[in-house]
Amino acid sequence: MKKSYLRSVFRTIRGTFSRFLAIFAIVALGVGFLAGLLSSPDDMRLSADRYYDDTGLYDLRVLSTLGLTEEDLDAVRGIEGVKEVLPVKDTDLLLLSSQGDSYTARIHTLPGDDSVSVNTPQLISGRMPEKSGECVVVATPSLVGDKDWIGEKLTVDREEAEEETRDSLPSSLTVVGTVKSSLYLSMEREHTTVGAGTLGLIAYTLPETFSYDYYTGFYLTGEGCEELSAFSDAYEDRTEALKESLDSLGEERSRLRYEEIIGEAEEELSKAQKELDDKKAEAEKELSDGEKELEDGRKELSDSEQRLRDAKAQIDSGEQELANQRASYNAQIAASQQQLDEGYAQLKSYEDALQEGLTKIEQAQAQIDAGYEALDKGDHQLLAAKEELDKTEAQLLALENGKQALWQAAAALNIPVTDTSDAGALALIDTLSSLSEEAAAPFAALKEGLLALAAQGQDTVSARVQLEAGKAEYEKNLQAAKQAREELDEQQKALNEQAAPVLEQQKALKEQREKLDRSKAQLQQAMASARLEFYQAEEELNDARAQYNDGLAKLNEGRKELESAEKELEDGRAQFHEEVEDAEEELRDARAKIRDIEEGQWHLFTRSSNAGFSSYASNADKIAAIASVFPVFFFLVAALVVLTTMTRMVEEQRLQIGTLKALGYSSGAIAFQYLFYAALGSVLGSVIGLLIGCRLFPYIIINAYNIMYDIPAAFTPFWPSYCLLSSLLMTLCALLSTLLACWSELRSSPAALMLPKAPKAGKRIFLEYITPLWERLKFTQKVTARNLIRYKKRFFMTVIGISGCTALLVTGFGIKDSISPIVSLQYEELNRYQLMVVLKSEEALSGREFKSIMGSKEEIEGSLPVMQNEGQVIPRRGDPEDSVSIFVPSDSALLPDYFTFRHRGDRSLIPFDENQVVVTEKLAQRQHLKVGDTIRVKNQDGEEGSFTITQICENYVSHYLYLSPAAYEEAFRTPPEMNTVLCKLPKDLSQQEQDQLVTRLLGCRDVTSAFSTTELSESFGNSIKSIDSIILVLILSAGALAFVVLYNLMNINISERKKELATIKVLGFYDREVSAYIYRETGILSLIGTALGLVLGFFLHQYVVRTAEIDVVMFARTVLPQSYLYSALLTLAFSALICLIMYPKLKAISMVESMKAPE
Amino acid sequence: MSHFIEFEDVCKFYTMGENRISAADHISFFVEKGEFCVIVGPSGAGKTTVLNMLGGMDACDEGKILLDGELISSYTPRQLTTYRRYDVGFVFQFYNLVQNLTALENVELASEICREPLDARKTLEEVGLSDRLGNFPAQLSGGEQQRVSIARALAKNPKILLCDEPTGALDYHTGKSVLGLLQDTCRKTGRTVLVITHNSALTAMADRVIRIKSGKAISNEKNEHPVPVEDIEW
Repeated sequence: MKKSYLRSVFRTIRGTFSRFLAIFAIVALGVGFLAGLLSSPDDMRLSADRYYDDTGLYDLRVLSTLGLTEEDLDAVRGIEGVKEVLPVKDTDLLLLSSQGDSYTARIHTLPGDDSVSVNTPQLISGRMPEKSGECVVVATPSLVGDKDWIGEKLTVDREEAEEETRDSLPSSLTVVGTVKSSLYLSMEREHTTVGAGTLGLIAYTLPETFSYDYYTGFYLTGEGCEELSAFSDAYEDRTEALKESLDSLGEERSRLRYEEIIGEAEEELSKAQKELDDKKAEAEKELSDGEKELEDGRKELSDSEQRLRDAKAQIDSGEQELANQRASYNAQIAASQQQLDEGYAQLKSYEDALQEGLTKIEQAQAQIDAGYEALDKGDHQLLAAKEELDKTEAQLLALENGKQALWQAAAALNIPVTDTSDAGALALIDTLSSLSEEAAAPFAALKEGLLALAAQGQDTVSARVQLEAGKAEYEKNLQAAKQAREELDEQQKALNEQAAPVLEQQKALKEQREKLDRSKAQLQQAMASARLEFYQAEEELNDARAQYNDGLAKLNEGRKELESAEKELEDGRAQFHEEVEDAEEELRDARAKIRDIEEGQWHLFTRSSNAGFSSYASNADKIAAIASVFPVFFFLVAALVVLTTMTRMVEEQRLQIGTLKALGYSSGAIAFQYLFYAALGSVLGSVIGLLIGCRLFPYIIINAYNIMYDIPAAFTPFWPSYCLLSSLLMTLCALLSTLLACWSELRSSPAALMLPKAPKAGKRIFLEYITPLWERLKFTQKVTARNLIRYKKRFFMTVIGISGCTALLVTGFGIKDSISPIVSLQYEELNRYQLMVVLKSEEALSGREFKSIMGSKEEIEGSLPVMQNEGQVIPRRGDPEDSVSIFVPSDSALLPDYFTFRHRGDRSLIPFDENQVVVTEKLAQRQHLKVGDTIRVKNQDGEEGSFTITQICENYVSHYLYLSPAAYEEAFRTPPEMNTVLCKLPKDLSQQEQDQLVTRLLGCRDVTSAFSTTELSESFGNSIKSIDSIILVLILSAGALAFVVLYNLMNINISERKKELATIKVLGFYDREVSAYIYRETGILSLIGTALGLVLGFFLHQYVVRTAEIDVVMFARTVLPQSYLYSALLTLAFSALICLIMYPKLKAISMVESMKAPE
Repeated sequence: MSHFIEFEDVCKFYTMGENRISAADHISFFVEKGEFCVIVGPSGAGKTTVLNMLGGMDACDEGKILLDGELISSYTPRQLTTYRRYDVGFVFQFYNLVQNLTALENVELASEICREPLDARKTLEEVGLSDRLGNFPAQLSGGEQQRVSIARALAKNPKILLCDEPTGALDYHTGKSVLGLLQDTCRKTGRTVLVITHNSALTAMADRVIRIKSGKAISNEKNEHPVPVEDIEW
């Protein structure tokens, strides 16, 4: 190649840099996108595989419910192809944190020494356990969050733990570090039979922590497995081979182990049975003893009742007697009283008579006494009168003597005594006194006497007379009194004689009375004693009665006692029955457990049974499916971009081609220039595209999936196959387009090439023939219409590019629309139960505790036992082999309450009854079945049955065949055995309550597992989050696509029509009008592309969704209207953005261009 | 002082790399209304620059340009566009027809945006293309295309008609007939027509001849006796 020629090539590139950039960009985009998406799944797999290899993830896991022994370990080590074996003592249990949070946990044991490097956890923080009782926890973001675990003390929930676990573990574990484990790539759907049913915490501890005497499992790696990708078929083959050789070992080993264990268990069981029987007998004996005792009591009671009756009779007769006696006594007493009274009466009359006599005597006596008294009185009066007379005589004598003395005194004094009367005495005394006091003084008494006598009208003389008279009378009276006394004494004597007999009588009467009084007293005494006797008798009777009452009370008491004893016995009997029932239930439990000890088969699991591994693998497959579709657009558009760009370039350089040709360059050499140009662009684009795409896309995708998976490092190597494939394809495409573009020019003669090429003739377009329409269009619209159709290549490039952009967006949004709603559709709208309990056998339904849980309305609103039989569809020719759950409700009428049977399209409900055979939609599609077709299925036991489909129902997850029990039995000749219970939970049941419910259910006999649909939907919801990032990738790619396409279109449009644009500028078009002239075309192309893209998006979405669907999952397959809207708006926004970017370029077109000669 | 078109000391410089080239160097001339004016000069004399500035496609750097009393040289780009739109009709050397439009549509393209356009169809009939209305440029001969171009300029009903080497791409006879058409148009409609050419032979048919050399107007003559184009030979 000539140097100047090459220089010209490079100058061309520099001169047409935007064109070169267009080729470069679209190639980079196409190659990067294709290679990036193609290598993404492989990168995902590689990253995971590296991680697996680094951590020595097991290739095969050996489990035996019977436990594994040292001998088993040696035997496994001896198998050819086994590289390393890690024996573990794993256990699932509930752990409580110090805050009281409960975790459903799995504890793994670390290898005892460093010689084994299987399932090595990687330390994130803290340290590894160094002594028993220490542990590290797996810290995946989805699992334990940001909690600071180190130092946390986890307590074993002893109430919930199984006996064996409880006994072999310390009471608590101390967290000393956090690790990462490839065993738990994600935390989804790792099931367990304890606690909430799915694991919430994984811990590693030293084997010493456990005191099990057997291993729960072996993790082993195979020779040469590490070198193979864990996702490859070769790996699968190798592990399968290893599995097979272990299978046969397992059969042998487990038979031995089984026999040993079953023997032990049976022995224990029979011991328990015997114990039960013994206890039963003992209890029965005790019961019969009680019965007998009770009988005795009863007899005693009736005896004492009899005795009481006798006593009562006795009391009654005593009472009667007492009454009789009292009556006769009363009569007797009355008689004696009467007699006595009569005696008294008689006596009284006698006494009365006596009294009369006595009275008379007394009267007489009284008369006599009065006589005496009067006599005495008279004596007295006589005596007094005598005294009076003596006294008066003395006084009179004194006076007369005084008078004499006076007279002598008067005479002594010489006073004449003229008057000797009293008056003259007085006058003399007065005269004396007048003469001298002394002389008068011995006469004062005389004076007084005289005066007193005078006062009585008497005087001394009269008084002497009177006194003499009185003396005589006295004497006479004294005589009379003597006489009267004698008379009276006579009278007295007579009376005394008269009174003597009366006194006699009185005495006799007195005696009689005394006698009477005596008998009265006697009677009274008799009465008193009789009364006492009566009293005593009565007292006695009362005593007897009280005793009797006591006896009665005691009897009642005894009766009551007897009754309670009877009740006690009854209770005891009930308790006995209950206890026996309990014990028997326990035995049945134990028997069920022995049944659980399955035939001693080893369970061998490859990695595909690891939830993280399998879901990761299926996600990688999904990406692979999607990756195969999207880049098509980029390729198509890239080819068109290169074709139009190169065509334009060749056209521009027509003159140069002619010149070169004229100078003698061969067609090949000339073509080389353009091929080189295109090749350079493609190769550079490829390189850059690969450099970015192969790193960026896998990186974004792996990181997106790291929301769910814990892959420490993303490996994004260049996969030569993908790189070569995409870059070669693209470069070839570009070269072909270039060749196509220069082909016609190179064939022309140099002379023809020197002449300007006749501009491409305008043409009438079909629209013009639709005159009414055409005439209605505005002038500018006509121009646009014609221009659009004139440049077909550009038209297609733009429409394809834009529609690709829209389609990508629709697909992106649509994927989200399709996947997001299935969670709520399946788990809320279709499945109307919230809890699914899986049973080991139908017997669980009759478990007492199970029944009581199912019966408690506040926890479980309703439940329906169903059979879920994992069958196989017998495919018709060419259809895939699908597994199907044969779903038979125990009660057909109730099933619609637990599952909504409806058609997907119109949501019309399907009635479910005895005659319906309903198949889920996805299965019907896969097997190409319609209503009326016959589906043949094999059930779990290998029996075949065929059914005529009556309905196809909406369903998203898994395949189901819904049958009535009768239909099942008819087809398979065995009645369905219920092995699942669907439960409806009350709406207000909290998560915690639900967890507790699950925990209790798992504790019931023959219950295998319990899933809450919220859990299922949550784990599903998590996986959907990663879709958002993928949608972002799609949006960015779509934007890039739209940008490249529109930029290129605009560029070509402007450069090719520079003159036209300059001309219309000269004609006076404003800038706005000039840009509208171009943009109108771009706008219409964008609109057409968008519209087409929406349609295309619909199909692309359908395709991608179907491809990305897992066999057992049906996506919603709908794109929401707003997603179409968003896609369209985004696309239009992209094109508007490009118009905006290109505006300055349009404005810069110089009008001078219009003066230039045509090219 | 009221010429229809007037250039006063107009300068225009172009910078090419480090060199500054004067395309118009203090150029001054005038044209009266209704005149058929020919501007003649050798290649690179600055004819096109004058035309561009007069046509509002380019601004002058110094001096004044007046048209019908309006100071065009002071116009903003937007005003210039409006000026082009309503006052100027332009005929290009290479016709510059929009290939995708028929003859009629090409005329309509201009008339659509004007205030008082002439009827496009009639205008085309007037330039003698009544039977080629529906043809695309590619289906027309050079002369016919130039007639469409003239019709397009005329249909705008402009104040002046500027023609840049209108015969440059045409053969002798066709060129003659196109020039005839322009002359007739000027005579019939009284429109001012400016034709730029390097062909001095055409000066004979002009009412006014302006000679330009090295960016200067070296003469501005009024031709009292213009001859019809048919009588001119070159």
